[in-house]
Amino acid sequence: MNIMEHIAILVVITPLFGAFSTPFVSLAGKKAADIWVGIFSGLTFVFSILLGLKVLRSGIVIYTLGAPEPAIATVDYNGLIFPVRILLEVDALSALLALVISLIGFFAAIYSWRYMEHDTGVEKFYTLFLLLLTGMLGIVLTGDIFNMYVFLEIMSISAYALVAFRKETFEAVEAGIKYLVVGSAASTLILLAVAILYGVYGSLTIAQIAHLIEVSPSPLIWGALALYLTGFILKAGIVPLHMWLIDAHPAAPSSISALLSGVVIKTGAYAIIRIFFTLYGVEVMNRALIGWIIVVIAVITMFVGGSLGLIQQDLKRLLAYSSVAQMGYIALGIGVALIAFNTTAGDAGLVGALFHLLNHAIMKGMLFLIAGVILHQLGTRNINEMGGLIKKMPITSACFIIGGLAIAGVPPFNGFVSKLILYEASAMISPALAVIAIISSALTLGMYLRVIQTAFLGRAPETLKDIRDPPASMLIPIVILAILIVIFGILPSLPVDSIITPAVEAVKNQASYLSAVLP
Amino acid sequence: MVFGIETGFGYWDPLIWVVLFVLMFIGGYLIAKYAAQRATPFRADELESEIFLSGWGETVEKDLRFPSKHLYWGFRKALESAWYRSAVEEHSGILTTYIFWIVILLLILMLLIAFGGAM
Repeated sequence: MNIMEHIAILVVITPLFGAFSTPFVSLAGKKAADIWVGIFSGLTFVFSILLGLKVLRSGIVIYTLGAPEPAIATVDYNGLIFPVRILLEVDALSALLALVISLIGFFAAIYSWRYMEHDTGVEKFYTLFLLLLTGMLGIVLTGDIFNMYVFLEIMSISAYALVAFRKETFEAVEAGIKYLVVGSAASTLILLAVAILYGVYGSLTIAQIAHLIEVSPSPLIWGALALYLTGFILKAGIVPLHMWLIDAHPAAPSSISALLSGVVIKTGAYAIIRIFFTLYGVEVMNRALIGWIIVVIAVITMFVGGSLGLIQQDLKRLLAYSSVAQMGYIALGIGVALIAFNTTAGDAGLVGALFHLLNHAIMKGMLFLIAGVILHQLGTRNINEMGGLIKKMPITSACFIIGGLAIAGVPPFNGFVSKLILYEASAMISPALAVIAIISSALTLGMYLRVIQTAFLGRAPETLKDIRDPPASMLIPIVILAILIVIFGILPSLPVDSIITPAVEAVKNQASYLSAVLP
Repeated sequence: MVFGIETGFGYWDPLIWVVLFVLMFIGGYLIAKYAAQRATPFRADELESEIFLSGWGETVEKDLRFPSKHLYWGFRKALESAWYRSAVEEHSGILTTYIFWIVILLLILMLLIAFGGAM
């Protein structure tokens, strides 16, 4: 078997197989389950890299399930040629997201070894963890709107259960139930949108529907777009549907918080990009109107996240508000790209949005892992009960300071570069947008300086005597992510030229996405 | 190895910042070292080690901790009536509020996109 021929499906079924085999492996003990999950999340990461390389080398990868030739998506029925099977369609955008998801997933798995050592039911945790990975990877790799919904539900249901995993605390159960209710409402809206598109066009394949929308746009598709957008705005944690995130992300175990804030909400942003630019296509829609709707929502999101994060006393809650603000930046880039499509400003908006998506996944993934270390060692999330941590845990503290400054957009870290691109892109649409984005960055800086000043600098309280940097399996993922923050800040052209620009080209080139499936 | 990047309308070169950071660290270290040599040693057993707060002797160390919520007190106070009071009330954690906002957003998007989304 040529592994590269089946690489797209391997990225999805590797964590899926790992998920269902983990309960059996865990019969041999927790150590065996730890290693098993490490192997499967590591393999998923390796396969994602191979998939990315294949896409960069030879263009869009098609994998049709059950077809004699997986690379051919269509069937010939009495001379009528159309796609009918479940298929994965991987362009550079999908490959970028798969890489980010599997990277953060792998580090979160390694981190969980020691972080979850005092918890019971770890085999269930690992099963849900790998199912969460499967769902996210499926969403970004599929070329079929119904499968996107199915994978969305796999991701969401795993996430609900993982948020409520520590069921002995009231906070976790309450947050899990709230997330379940609003998440199910969003999923229902998305399913309704799928039903409308299927009812109108009789197909579920993204490329086929996109082609039919181009040929004969029905008035009903705009209702479906509103349903899609509402559903994915909630999944992305964008204002005004961000409130579940503030409950869910702090209540989850920290390795799951890292996944939720780092990558789960990014699947919502991915879906919005995919629906606007590929499924509908910019030619048929009123780009100015829809772009400005996204921009207005983005601006409100940045301000709400930044200003409310500034007054939080709970470290994980503060990080959750910061995630809301950063999703605003990503949405701003998407909105600008819609308004000024195929211009320098539009291209910069897309580069900024996708680069910030990558950067935020790394930064917020690391910051939540550090919050977990602090919670693990100190037993509190209250910033006021911390102090002088830099003397007790110097490596962890240095990583937090790097991450905090990076996310606030302080040069020379990676967050600054992606924000600078977004400031410039939005300034070309309206200078007021750039001003608001800069003010929101100042709020984020204020938020993180407060944590750095109170928790890491100054004098340690009497109660914090026996604390130190965490064990290697928890520290190494944090340090690697901090190194990535610095490298992507000093050498921004490295990720931008190699993975961001191809993804931007893929987003802009709807025709190549369609022609890869349709003859 | 290329350090800079085109940002759409300009160019960003982080190398200058890195050099500046390194110079600032070296400068800061040298100043701290110089100050440590020149400063009069701190005598913990004498009167100068005692803490006074507005003329009141303060002996309990933990009481001097400065809670982080006071850090942006002025900013928060200035925006209290205009923004923070209503924003905090809205983030009450009550599930029906979350559903309310889903319905409101869906209505707005339906009106805007369903009637104005087409080219």
